[in-house]
Amino acid sequence: MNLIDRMANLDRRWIFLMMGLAVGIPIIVIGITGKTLPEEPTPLAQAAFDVLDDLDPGSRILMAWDFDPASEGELGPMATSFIRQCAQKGHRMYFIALWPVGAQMIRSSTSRVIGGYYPDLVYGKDWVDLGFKAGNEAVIKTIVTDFAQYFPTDARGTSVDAIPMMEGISSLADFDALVNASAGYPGSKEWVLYAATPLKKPLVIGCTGVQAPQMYPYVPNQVQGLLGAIKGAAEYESIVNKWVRSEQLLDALESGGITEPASSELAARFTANPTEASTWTTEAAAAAMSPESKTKLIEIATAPIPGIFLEAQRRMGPQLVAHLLMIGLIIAGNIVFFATRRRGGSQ
Amino acid sequence: MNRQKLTLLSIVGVFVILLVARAFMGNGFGRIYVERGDASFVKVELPVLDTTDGDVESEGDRLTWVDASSDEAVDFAGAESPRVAWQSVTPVSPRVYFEATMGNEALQAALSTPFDATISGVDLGTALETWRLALLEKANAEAAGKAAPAVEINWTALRAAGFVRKTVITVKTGGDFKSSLIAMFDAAREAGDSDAETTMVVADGRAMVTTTADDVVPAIGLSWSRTIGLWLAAIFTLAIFSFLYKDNPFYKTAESVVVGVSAAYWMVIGLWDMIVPNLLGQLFPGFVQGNLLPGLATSDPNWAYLVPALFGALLLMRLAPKGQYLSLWTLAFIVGTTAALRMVAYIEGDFLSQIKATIEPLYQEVMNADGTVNGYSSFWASVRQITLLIGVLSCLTYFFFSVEHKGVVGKVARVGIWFLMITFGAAFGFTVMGRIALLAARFEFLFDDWLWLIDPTNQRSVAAAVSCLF
Repeated sequence: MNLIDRMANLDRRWIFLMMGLAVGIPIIVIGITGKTLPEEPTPLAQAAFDVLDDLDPGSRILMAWDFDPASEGELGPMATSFIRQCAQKGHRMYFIALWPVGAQMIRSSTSRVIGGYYPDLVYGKDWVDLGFKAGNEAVIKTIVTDFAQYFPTDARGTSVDAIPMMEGISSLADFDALVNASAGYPGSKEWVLYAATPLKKPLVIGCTGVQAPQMYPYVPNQVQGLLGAIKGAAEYESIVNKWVRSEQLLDALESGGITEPASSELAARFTANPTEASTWTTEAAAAAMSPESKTKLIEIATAPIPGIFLEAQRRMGPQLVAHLLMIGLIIAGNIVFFATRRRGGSQ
Repeated sequence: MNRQKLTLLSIVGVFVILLVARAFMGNGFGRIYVERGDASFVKVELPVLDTTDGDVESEGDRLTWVDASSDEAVDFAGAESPRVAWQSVTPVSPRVYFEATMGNEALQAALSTPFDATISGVDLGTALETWRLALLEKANAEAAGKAAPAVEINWTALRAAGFVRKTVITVKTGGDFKSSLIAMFDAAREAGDSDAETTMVVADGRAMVTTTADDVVPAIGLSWSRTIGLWLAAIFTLAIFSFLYKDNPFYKTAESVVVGVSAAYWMVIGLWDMIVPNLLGQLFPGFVQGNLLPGLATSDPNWAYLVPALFGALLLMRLAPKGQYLSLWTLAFIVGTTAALRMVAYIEGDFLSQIKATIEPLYQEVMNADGTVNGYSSFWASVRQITLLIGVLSCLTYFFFSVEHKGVVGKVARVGIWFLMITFGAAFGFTVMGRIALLAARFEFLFDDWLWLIDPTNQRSVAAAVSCLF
């Protein structure tokens, strides 16, 4: 039996094993080294970021987490970054879920991001978990006109009347933007059809790769920002990470006495090249800063990004190797096909 | 059972035994730690105030549960107010546990370890890692017959783990570690820099640093229930993966459990998130507020909700031996309203909006920030718009079967096929990417949460350092 015959009759379990290794080995390598692949944001990811960034701090953002653990690998990093951007910007976040397990996803992502990195945010004033509601698109259709009809309490059983940030919320029209992480039905398509289109509200969507091709036609008129699959998540994650670092540097510079526009310029420089921060603190321009401010500035510039904000970028490594394997298998499959056909073995 | 199966089972069995044995050795792996605390709540009557017109007016009282340590409890709770208390459990990372407890064990073990080296570091993890590397270097040097390098202990870093409250001292050591530490304490006391309450006890060949400082020691410990849950999750993940080899009882069991648990979860969530607050809360608000949802605002019963309650009950008639046709009324209502809702939404959101999005000028002008035309962006935006128009028209032509696909129509339809194939290819690519991402997430769970092979979120870095050391 020659090589072509061997490949033609290759047990599919060898391909499963190869795919397992192609995904597993990069995870271990990246997990040990901490190195991730660089991400160049596409306009779609940048647009998703800009929608939330252009809003004034304190804006009301409805965040619908319509996914479950089965798609957490793709949508979890998006949810994490959405919360991080809103929390850093100072937006008020209202979490709801149209999927039963979405309620658990809300608890998971909020405890990881808000509980871990923004503990100063107050439940009921800065963010609220309104939980899951059954009814699919009927929920959206109803809350477009009457929010309290479906959400008389939050997920903890507290009346919305007793939650300060619910004051002034009578319908979806009272929100400044909608953010949806969706794994299927009900999800992003329903939010487009029943909420964003009739209300003409800015809508940012993070969806699975399976859904993404169906959502592209809605950009940019009905959907302003779209993150498709783990690639979109990685791009958006890198934008948010750089922006958060830049904001923290800006705060450190301004608290150290460096004013605009120099502070913005320096923050951008140090974000792009963190090692410049330590060099700059020795220059005359930094003389006005106290030693503590300089130390803090260098710490912020060089501090490693927390692992939970690199989830999507970490998963791009396995993507690369697995896709190379896929391409190799497709080429090999075609070679086998044509070789077999030439010998008259396949009709 | 043939020899091949026996060999395979033997390999799997040995692997499982080694895995379980490793899980109980040292720091093990796949463990979940929790911090236990006391939660106490008290039922109080809170005044409801209306401040809409600028004046504060009372609108009566609202009976609700509040945290016993809150301001509301202090102001409004009495001795006879109903109280409930339970133990709260909050998951913490293994790092927190190791910093709180394991570090002390590591120190105790270190005290009986003779060495001659230097340690420095800014935190416990860094200090221990530096220490480990220094010891390795020292061992290598000794093995090679070279002079062993000196090591400095950063006592501040160890103190940060809770061994000593105030002592800050760095001493170059030489010879026996235990006697060096005693010397360090003596030096600290002589320098007046030591915490008087900190003592060092050496007994039974082991040494221990204790402190009676008023630091709050968190009640952090292993959660057996959550740890078992984690192991079950890992085992079920492997059971599902086993289908890739071939169908087997492990896969069948995991599949059935997932289906059963999902159904049960949906039912419980539906009850507490939907039926209780949205149906029962409307029909019997007083009962629900007093017994099921204390936070629910009291209001008058809304008897209109009897209609959805009735429809819901009719739907359950499908399970009854007679009168199953009654459930069709509810189904008819659901199908009718859904069709009507979707028709309106799809006409507006899909049909009209998509036509509008397609009918755009072929020449797209993209402006710079200063108001001038950006030629490069305008060119590509126009190309995109023209491509979109060609794609839409050619695909529509392909699906227009009233005219035979010959001549010009056939060629245009052929272009449409290309557009469709590219679309399907993109969809396939996205699907592959999505599936790989899901596989990567499961592998991360196995390698990180379960096996502790990697630590991308820095959950156990101290644990890893301690493990390597001792």
